[in-house]
Amino acid sequence: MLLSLLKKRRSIRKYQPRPIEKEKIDTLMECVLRSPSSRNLNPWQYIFVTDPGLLAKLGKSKEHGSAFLKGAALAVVILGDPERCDVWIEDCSIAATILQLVAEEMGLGSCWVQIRLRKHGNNLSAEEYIRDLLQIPDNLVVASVIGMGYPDETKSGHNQETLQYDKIFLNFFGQR
Amino acid sequence: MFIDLLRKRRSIRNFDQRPVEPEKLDILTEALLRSPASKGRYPWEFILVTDPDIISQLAVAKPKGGGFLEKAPLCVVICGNPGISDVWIEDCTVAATIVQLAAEDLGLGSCWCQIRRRQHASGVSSTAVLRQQLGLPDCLEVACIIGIGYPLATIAPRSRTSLPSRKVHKNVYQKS
Repeated sequence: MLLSLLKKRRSIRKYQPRPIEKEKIDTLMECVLRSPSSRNLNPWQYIFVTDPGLLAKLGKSKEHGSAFLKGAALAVVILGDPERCDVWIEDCSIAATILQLVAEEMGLGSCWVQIRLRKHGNNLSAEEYIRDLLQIPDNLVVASVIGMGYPDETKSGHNQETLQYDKIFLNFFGQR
Repeated sequence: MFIDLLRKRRSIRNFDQRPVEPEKLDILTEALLRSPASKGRYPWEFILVTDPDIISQLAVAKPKGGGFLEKAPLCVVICGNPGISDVWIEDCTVAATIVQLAAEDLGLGSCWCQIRRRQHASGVSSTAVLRQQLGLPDCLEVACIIGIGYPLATIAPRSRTSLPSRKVHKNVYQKS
């Protein structure tokens, strides 16, 4: 059941050095290509990075929050095409969510690295840094990078009592 | 298996009029609240609408493509607060994706109705119309509405060979 997956899922940033099997990577590729998108325009593209040198460089995309990619077995760079669809942010985020849930089901841990609206340093966006690193054409933008691998840390799921039930309304804002 | 869910999932816009059972509503609610968000900021709020009169109003907020909501026994209005997180669009999308997958898992069908960047017939934004209809405070933006219900008919899954596999690249972007 999907809910049992959601109950135990946590962001995982520490990974075992072991690679992800080819069959699992193939399944991950299939699932991102199955991601639904607005009007079926599929404005996304994906770069599956397993090269250790590139993973280390992806780890330097942002000053904070991307360093863990250096130890990931796989990083999936999610690209959007704003000319193809005005809601590419949504479409890329759907794919990222699906990718993380499929990874979880296959026993992999993962964590989202936000790239859109994030900086590499003083004068460079995280997007420009990755564009240069992975030779991404100018018409595409980098939404996020999902790092993953076999987990080398365990975290317990969030308790039901910690969920923000005050954010749920019935029929009308403010009504419960 | 979650992957099998992805393989068969299609957008469903025609529902039978059977209401969604309270136990299933509880599961969908928990799934929404378990959606991960950037930096744990959870900039979303959700309105679960089952009142047929309010649902009729939701259906006209976006004349192009929103009409199917009229026959949905449940509409989940997904709102985000840009003041809490600059990546509220991503966070709302993660939750929308998760509620659609949780619905599918429960034997329900669903379809996404995009609201952000979309307009009402009068030319004002769909969000402005919904803000009035649902009594939303000005700080909230509406990302989308997910219409949910028991499917009236099934739609054949997409075949693996129909997937746009040229959109997956390995290690660096490869120009085709």
